[in-house]
Amino acid sequence: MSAAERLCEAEGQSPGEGAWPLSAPAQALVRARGVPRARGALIAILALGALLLGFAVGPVSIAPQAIIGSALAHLPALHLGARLSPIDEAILWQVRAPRVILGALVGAMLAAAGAAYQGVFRNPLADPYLLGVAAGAGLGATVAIAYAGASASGAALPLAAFAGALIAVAGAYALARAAARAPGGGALVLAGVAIAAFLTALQTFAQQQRSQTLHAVYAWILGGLAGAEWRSVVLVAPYIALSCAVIIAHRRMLDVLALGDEEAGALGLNVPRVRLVLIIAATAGTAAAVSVSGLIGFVGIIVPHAIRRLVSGSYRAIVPLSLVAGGGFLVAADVIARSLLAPAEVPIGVVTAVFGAPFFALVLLRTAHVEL
Amino acid sequence: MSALRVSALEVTYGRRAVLRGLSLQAHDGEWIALIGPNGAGKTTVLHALAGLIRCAGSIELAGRTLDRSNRRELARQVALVAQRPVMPPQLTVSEYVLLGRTPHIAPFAGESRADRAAAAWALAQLELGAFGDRQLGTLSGGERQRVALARALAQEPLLLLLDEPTSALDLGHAQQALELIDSLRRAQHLTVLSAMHDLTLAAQYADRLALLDGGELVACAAPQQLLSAERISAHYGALVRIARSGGEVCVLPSRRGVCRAHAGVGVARLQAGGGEAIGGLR
Repeated sequence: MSAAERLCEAEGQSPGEGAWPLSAPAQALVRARGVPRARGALIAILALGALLLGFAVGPVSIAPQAIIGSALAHLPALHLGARLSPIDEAILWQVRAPRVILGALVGAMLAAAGAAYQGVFRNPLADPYLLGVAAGAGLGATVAIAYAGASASGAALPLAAFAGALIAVAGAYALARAAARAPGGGALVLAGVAIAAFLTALQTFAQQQRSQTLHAVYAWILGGLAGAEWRSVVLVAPYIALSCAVIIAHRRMLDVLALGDEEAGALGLNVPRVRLVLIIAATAGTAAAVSVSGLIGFVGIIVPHAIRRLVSGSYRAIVPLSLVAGGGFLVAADVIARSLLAPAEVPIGVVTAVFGAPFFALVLLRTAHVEL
Repeated sequence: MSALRVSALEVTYGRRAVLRGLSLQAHDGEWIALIGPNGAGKTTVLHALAGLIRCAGSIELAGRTLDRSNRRELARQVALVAQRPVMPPQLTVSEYVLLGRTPHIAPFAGESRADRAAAAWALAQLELGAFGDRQLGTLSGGERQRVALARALAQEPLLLLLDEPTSALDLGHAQQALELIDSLRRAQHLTVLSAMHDLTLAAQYADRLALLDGGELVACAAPQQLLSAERISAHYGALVRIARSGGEVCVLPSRRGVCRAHAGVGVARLQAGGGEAIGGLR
């Protein structure tokens, strides 16, 4: 029986020649839920609210409607909105905007990469740093700061961190390939553990050897968005956009991968290739994000889990919603990081964990019925 | 016409041959049960036919040689239900069955209307129409087996491979699952190849049994002809009696062998002793 005949039969138009009697005369077409509208819209609104908060909050407060008016005034051809005073314009568009946009990009990237890693490895503990991105970037940044005198504002630091992260994951993949002909999740995770331990040891050694740069190294490792400029946004946006696009395009394949290598292969999926493409995309994007923001923990692991538990277990919802929620979450965390002890800043990793952990605990308690 | 023609199938892991020159033919809608002791190569045959492992030899399905290098093309013709299918607990039954359409969907596309209709049809075939929105984590063992079959059926295969389809089920649910498979293959002219441990159930449902041992096909025949106490003793190292009544074959494990084994009698003696145990109810 062809699919078209089945379509007729499933809609009850004609019973056709099917030898098997249908139990119900008219079968509703089944569908995948995808992104549920109401919850998806709620998450998008919360994320937009976080962005607006990021623009509005600071030593000089600017009203949300003034921000929207100024944004409209900047749109070409349309004569809408009203510009602010030159000082407020500068604060809004040269200081806060790059920081908010960078925060949204980094948060979205870390959460999407976390979702991809959890899917590829079928491991709830997977986060974007699983295969040694953090250790590699940390070593790269430490070497740049300790031996080459790189400063947080220069171009050398992000480059060194980016290169270190990519080399670490490439090393883990090569090691796993040498250990198993078709590296599965287990071999890769173990190779990542070995590489991360080795690089972290080198990083600690370099850090101790040049203890005068300890503070700069430590500040980078804790991560943060202070000193964000449009330059860094332009630097990382292409990597993050491409990487997120690849992960989103694979959202259905992540659901197929969730069935295990054996069944995914029997469904015609080239499992090793899909896994490699996703690892490359998630790693390159994470490395780009880390290179400008330092090691911000927790976002990549809790955001996808919160979505999984509160919205849907299908990656068709987890991937896009993690991206949106991750961006909003990191911008909100950054608002807290810069206003809690203003004018001093709290490291953003402290904020993501201090506020994220209780929130996630609440999610766990409220969704105790959901299995991992 | 022969729907499935496997010729000289060979699988080697490193230097060790795990399947040696296996040839097998099945006609349209036939059910062949692969039997044999643990490690005989039953699952390897299924995995080779599903394109999951490299193998030598040729596989013909419906008169055409399978191109094993084209995974998607292969998956449109051959479906595999694993021994313990992985079921992500938060996916719904509908979403899971729709994943069976994967080989019919372009790599980055979503399901079309025809795909959704095929999934609805598969659910209806297994009387799962009311289960569409249930999460996989809430299903019982018997329901899980039906859902896994529905996913395979949504693939619209010509050949259905089942790895121990009843190993996780109690006797009642095992019978229900096998009855379902039997009516599906008759209605859809599906050729079924299933690895099975329970010889009595295999004999009741399969048209023919294929006995494997040490990676080689020992015999392939109707259950009545194939099952004998000598054969089972020689290949399983088990002492059994064979009961036959009204065209049915029943394999009864014999306690005497167990006592002997406990008394320290080696496997060789035990196998030799198998001859004494024949007859019984014959």
